Amino acid sequence: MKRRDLLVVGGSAATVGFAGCTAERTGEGNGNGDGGDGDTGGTTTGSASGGSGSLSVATYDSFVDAPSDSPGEWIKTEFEARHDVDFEWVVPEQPINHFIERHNAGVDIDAEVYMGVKPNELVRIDQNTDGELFQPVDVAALEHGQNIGEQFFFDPRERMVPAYSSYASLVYDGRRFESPGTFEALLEDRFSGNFGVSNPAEGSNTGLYFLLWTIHEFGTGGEYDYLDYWNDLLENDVRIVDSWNTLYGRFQDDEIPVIVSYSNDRVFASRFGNDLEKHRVGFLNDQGYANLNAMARFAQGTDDELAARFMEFVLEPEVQAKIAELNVTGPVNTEATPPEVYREFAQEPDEIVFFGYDRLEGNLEGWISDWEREVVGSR
Amino acid sequence: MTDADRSAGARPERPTDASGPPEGERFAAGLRDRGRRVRHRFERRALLLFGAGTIALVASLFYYPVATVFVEAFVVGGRVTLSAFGELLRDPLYFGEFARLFAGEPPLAVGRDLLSADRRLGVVGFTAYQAFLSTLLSVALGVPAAYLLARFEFYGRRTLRSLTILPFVVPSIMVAAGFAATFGANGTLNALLGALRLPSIELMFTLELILIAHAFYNAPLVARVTTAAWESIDAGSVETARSLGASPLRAFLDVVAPRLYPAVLMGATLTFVFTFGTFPIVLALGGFELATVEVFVFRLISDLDYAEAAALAIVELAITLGLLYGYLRYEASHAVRSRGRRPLARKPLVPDAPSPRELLARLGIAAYAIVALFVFVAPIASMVYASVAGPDGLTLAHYRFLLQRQATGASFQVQPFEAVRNSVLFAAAALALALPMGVVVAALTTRRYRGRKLVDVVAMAPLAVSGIVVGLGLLRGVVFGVEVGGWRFAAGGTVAIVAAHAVACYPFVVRTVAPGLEGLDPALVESARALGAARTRALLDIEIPLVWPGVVAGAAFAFAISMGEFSSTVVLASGTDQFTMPVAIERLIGRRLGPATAMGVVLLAVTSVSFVLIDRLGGESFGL
Repeated sequence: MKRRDLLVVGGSAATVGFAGCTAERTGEGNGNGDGGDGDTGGTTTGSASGGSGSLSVATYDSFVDAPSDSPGEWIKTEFEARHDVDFEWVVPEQPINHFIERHNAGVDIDAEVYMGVKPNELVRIDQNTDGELFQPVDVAALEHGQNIGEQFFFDPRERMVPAYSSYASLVYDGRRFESPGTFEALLEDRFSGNFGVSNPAEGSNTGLYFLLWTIHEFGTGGEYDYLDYWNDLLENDVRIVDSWNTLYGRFQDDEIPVIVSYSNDRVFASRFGNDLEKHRVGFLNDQGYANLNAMARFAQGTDDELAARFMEFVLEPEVQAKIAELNVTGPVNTEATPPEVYREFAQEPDEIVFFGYDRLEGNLEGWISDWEREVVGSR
Repeated sequence: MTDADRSAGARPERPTDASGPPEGERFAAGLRDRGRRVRHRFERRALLLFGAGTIALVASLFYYPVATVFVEAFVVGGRVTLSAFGELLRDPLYFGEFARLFAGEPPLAVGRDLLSADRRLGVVGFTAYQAFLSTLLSVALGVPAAYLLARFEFYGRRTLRSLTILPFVVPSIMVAAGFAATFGANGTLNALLGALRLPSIELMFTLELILIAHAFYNAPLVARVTTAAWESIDAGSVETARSLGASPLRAFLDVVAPRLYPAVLMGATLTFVFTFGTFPIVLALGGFELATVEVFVFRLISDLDYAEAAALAIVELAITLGLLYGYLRYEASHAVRSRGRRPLARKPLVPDAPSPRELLARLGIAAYAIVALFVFVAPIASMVYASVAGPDGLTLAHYRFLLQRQATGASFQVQPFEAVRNSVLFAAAALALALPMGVVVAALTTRRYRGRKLVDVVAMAPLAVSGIVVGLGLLRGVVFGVEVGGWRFAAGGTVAIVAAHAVACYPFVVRTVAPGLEGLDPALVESARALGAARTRALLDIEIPLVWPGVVAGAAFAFAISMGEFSSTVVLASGTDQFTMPVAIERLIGRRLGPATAMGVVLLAVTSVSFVLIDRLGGESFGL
């Protein structure tokens, strides 16, 4: 009898239905492309008197949740304490695509600011949104805006406010190898099966940066272009795994001793008491590929005042230093001094390699899909 | 039996004095009569009612959301077109030599090239190829386990049986780490081979390792459904065969095996479906050269290249549903009729009277146990080890991190306890929904009518549609909702998560219950109906008890699927307080795998306890 009761109870539950349903009248002003110029005066949520209010900032999950490096908690606490507002992080899965979808569906976006837009993501956004997801920001009008290094800007339409940056580089096991030093060296026998990169096509930043780096080095369409180089890498058993997390895991358990990661690796290694001999950072041709991250103002945002205050907060020299410490990324404010540990263990390349918006626009997808065909298509 | 008869029969304590029952009691009896009539009427319609409810739920949380994505394959730039499919089918990247066939080249020339050594299978061809090999390996590793679990008695057998489907819930990042620790250059296997002075084996980043990982996930599935079928075999039929002079082997081949084929084939079909849609373990253990269809679906959706993504996902779905349909046709035509059931007696693992036959069987089991130790136990053991390993030896620091996060974590961060609570509650609620849904669909698709197998295969679609597509569909169709006349109807949060889990789980219940229902002698139900039982009453009182092992197996699968579910949960959750354990693990992954691994071990522990409980509550009782 018990079993039947179970089924019957379950069945009744099935008919109870949707308590989680909501129905909202769709108001005006949530349509597409009604933002654009940010000086519409701004209706503010909460009181506009500069006192209490609430601010939602969207970001990606590891910025707030990764146990090793997430400045999210500190930013919330500090910003709330300084400005007497409720601060909220909004962290959807695959956030960039989430907001593109949300915008295109004409559904409200509650967040005012997005934290951590990368150049390739901005290209994707612009290619896929009807109207504008973000609006231009007058950086010069922001406090500390003038102190942002020129090299950190990447949006010709001035919607991006640089926030932090780092460099993709090699990380190698110094107990077993010396730094390869050049792209050609990675084709040598000693690195056969010993060099790994995460899949550039699957949304992995370091993997994508390395792909772009090879395009920077070998070009496209020439006698020996980036695809030829990748073919030679494949001949040498390069390991292309799904994600940076998997790749780093295999580095840690000694399955892949040379990987593409970040030049700040030794900061983590020293923090977690790992063997610093094992965690070595190497550049190729003394270059590193720039990992640029910016803040952006949602076009639908309503509280210009609070959004500006948040951006100014992030740009403050001491906040920049704190983010450098917690996020283990470099500051973009040239007046900021990174913390001791960062200065000691994070390495900077002599030359920074980086494709701007104009180079990526219209090319990125083709580069990736050509690469895919080269790697998989020959099968 | 009429209502009056039934109520009379149910009133044995009626006073027998001539004056009849007192007024109050007559009233109460009338009320009882009425209640019974209502209940009977309800039972008559219950099957249809639940059927309709199931359709509504699956339509709103599966078919409609998925349709919002699939439509992109047909409507490109505002025009209805099949061009996305045309391009896809003629693309050698996806279809290799077959693409030339679709492009109109003569089949003979293409066939000749397909037989040559440097033939190209394309992504779709390769995906099918590796899925086929994975299925073979999963069956090879799953059937011996079923033999052991169904035919032998030993200490811990029931617990072992409960735990067989544990691999189902292990997140891929942990499997990758566990497999590297077991099969890597510096792994357990090579350490053992080294100690035995044998040459080491290089398995990392090979197709072979992917196949083993697929077997890790799916052999338990084959084992579990085959065990359920084996335990449902009537001992009487075997005894009859033996008494008529059949050798044990002949009795096995003629009586036992035909009852097992459908189960093994079902396990194999599901394995093929899952490994055809495999993601992301292929790249974690193999590398991009071994990329499968789902890797491309993910990439295309990430790049918002929806037309090609949807077309590819539809091709993927067509292949897996085609296979499922073939299997369902087989299942329907190979049902073995049965009446009552008394399970075969189990043999002790240590034989009472050793004979060469008996010893040979034990030897085989011992050899299998060694293989199973490496494929199933070692990877999980190394995950547990990784959760207590630190730079300076053993440590509980990762678990302490979880406690600390619980105590001081911010509201937008993952909270370990809430994740555990949500996982268990969601899975229990999803199970409570999925069981009746699955049983009803099984009952409705085992009735005789034209096209019922088509209905069945459409009902199985949640198993076969790309999880990435479902996730995007739920975001569009449910979280963003539908706009009707100036109102936007949306859903999200706990109820939506549970319902989405139930929709993902119920096909398992259908698949484990339907073969049993198909095999029941129709005379049993007909007698019950002739005696006045409503269809639902016959289902509850006659059919379900007879197919109970299938129901319990389906329940265990449903629970496992819900416990391991990631993509729907993370889309539908309206806050971190609705995250489940797999989501928590994903979010806790950082430079240090430790905290995520510790959370993974918590997931394994909670799931193990739940599986044992489900099996114990389900019981081993059989028959009417």
